[in-house]
Amino acid sequence: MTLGRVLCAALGLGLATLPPAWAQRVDAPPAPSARAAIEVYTDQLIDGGTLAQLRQESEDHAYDSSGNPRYWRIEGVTSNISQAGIRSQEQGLRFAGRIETPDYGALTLDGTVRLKPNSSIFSLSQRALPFDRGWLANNNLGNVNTVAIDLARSQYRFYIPTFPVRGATTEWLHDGDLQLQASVGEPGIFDGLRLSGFESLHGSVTTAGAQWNDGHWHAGIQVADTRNVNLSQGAAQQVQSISGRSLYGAGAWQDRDIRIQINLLDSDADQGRRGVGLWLDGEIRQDRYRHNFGGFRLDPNLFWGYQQVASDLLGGYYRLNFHDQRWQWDGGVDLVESVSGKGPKGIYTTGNVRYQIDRALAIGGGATARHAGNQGWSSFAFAEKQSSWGSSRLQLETTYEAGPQRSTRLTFDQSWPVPDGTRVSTSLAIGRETNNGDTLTRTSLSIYGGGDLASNLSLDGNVRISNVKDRVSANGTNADVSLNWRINSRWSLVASYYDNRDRIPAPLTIDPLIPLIPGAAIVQSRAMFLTLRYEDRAGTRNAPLGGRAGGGAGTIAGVLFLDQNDTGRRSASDPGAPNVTILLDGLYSTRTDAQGRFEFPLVAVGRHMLTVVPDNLPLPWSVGNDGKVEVVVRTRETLNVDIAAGRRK
Amino acid sequence: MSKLNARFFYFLRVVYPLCLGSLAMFGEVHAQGFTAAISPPRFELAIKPGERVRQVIEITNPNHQSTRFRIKTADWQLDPEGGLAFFDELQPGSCRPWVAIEGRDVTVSASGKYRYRFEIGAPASATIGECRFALLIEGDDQQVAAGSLSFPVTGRIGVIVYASIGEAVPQLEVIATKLRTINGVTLPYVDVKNSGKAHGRISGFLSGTDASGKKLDFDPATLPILPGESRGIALTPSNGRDEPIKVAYPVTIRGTLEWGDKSLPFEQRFAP
Repeated sequence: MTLGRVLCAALGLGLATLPPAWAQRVDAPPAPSARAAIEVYTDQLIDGGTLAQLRQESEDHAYDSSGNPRYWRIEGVTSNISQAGIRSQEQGLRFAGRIETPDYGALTLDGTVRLKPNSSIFSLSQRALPFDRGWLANNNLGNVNTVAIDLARSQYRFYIPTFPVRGATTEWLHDGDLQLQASVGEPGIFDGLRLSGFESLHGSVTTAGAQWNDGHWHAGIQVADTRNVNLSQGAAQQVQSISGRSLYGAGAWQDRDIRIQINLLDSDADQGRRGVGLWLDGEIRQDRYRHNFGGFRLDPNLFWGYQQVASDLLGGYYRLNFHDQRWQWDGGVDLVESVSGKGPKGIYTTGNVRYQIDRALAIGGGATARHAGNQGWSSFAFAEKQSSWGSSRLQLETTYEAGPQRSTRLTFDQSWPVPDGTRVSTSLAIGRETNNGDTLTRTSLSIYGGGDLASNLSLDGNVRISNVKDRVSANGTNADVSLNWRINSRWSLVASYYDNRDRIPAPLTIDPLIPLIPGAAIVQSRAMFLTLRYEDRAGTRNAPLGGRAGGGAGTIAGVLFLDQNDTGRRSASDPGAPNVTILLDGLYSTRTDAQGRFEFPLVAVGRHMLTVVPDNLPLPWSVGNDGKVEVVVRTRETLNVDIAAGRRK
Repeated sequence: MSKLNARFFYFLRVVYPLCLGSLAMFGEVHAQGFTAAISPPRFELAIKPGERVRQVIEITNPNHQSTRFRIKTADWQLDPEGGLAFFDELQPGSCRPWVAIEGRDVTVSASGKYRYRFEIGAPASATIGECRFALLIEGDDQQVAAGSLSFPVTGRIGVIVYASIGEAVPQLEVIATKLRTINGVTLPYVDVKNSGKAHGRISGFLSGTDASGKKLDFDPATLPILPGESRGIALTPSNGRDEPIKVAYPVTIRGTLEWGDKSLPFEQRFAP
């Protein structure tokens, strides 16, 4: 009778070296006969055992375990929005559902029916559809993004965009050695704040691609055909129709320490805009060093489909990274000139260093300089300290841009030690800017955080208060706050308030391949959203996928943010990255909203992998570890995941 | 089929996957009808003599049926390899008589979560030191039936509690260094003695170049060193990449060892 117990204990001991998590696991208790021989200590009870039990949280309805595992959600959203003094509303329904099948893969349906302003979208996704002989298929229908082969995605310096379309995509994968793809649809732009819509650009886009992988060798080809796509051009927003064809080919060789990839892009758009781009990227790893290098020649007017990509560039780059327990540094140089002779020519240098003095204290700094038609540089220095007060960071930044523009800013970030389930960080910044002789002083205080106010009520958000002082003094605020009331296990109510009356501009980025974008005028806006949500799930898995059949579930909610000060943690002033696709376990997908938020409700407890698909992430941002973030979901808890997109080094 | 064969095949089909499941699930004990998640995994508290503190562990039952858990305290010891041993009987110097628990069992409803309370009351006469014990959360024995056969399957989770009494602190010193071979892997070890009144853990920045010219970092194991004991702490080599490393000895390791807010320069040659 004790065979199972003994074998369980033996196996348990064999695996006892696994890292501890929520609790330290131990082997099974001794057999009853052995237990009887021990003089057991009897524990005392609080108040002699008269302590009243606390109320338990539990499900308030019976779980239907019949059928395949499935989940569905419907939300009613109403809002009041004011942008630059113009009032508008977003009202409508958002719905989502998913079902896991043994024979037809995982199906996800997402959609929005927006009544004000009128626009409806949906996407039906089928992932991991199995076939004989090692084939798997991923299919998408509706408002989706075109697909790209892996070689087009694994770019270090340039990237090939994908297009939002109203259409269909298909991808076929064979045992890791073959990838076949095709997409067709009407291109457009996703819009909306909480309720996404789709603004058509008319015309059509067709793409197709294939990639072969054979040991160290990889080769791929991808084509895009665009017909009569209407784009708004110039300050007058004149509509221009674009048609064109593009061909992308790539070959790569990779082993443990070396990767070399060569890329060719040939595009032919209307009005004789024909161009060829050729670039090579290499990476060599030597112990703790990583070298990245490459060369490029990109003709003027280079297009991928209807989107112009990096063009009119000739040059090369070299980067060197090093890290050990104490040191982390990188340096790089880019030489760039214009193929046509009409663009800038120059040298760009960058360097960053971080030194860990001890486990609690680190210092560092960095600088970037541009020696081109107009000179510019930026630099920063910081100190970071871990203490019983949490994590503190003091940073001084200076920038100079010929013009002349100068700015200096001192920032103090603090992540405060708070109980589990809550987080609070603050950021205080004082800066001085000079622009063509005019000087102004900016001061801002940001607070970011959240947590449970009660067992069924949570608050999450960030607030920034700023003051700009030049000839006169003006105050600004930026707030994004959500209050979530879990009425019961199926119903919840979310109230969100967004208010932007701030004049703080985005920090200056000096990068050789990114044109300087003049500070966009900040549109003052405020909005109030009220969302009533109903969600439920049922079914039992035939094959567990990250969770046990009929097991508990939690929610993954998070923000993909642009990590401006490269700390890996979300500071109160870091903005969200909108419209980026996030995959859960490679099966389910969602897209970040205008503030970079995303959510996967009712996810099985246990370990899961989130993958950020970088197609819509603007350069120079990228997510480390190939965009993968491992998370552990706990029963009926909302796991808040902040994913940092850092600058490529 | 003989009874023995039936037992063996039943083990392969049912019990073995359950055992693996119980250990592979992150932080969960998971057997037939028994899965639980306990939070937090460890308490590190500070209390004053004469003070009574109440703490809470959160027991989550993700099953779709209610589950009864037995809860009790235990003393524990770490063996030289870092393995935990639990004792139901009172060990010398045990502080479990200072501990009171909410109840000896609790039933958590389906998909429910229960906040279970326990208290530590240090007597006013308590001297500076550390109170250590474990809270064991056990599932009821489950009878797993298959035909005429039935197997008891159970599981257990231990939550370790450290409570320093009267601002007790560790006092660590390196008393010896040596190479040790465990499971065929030879690693440098530092023997660290704790002459303080509370447990401590070693960290630090250590690096060295081995006999083949490889520059390596060495990470001290984070095992607790209990007051009054000496413990061998392995220095695990790393090169910043996720791969096993074979060190060519001799190697001289330099850097600093740290604990709490203290640090100690370290330089030692390790040779077979």
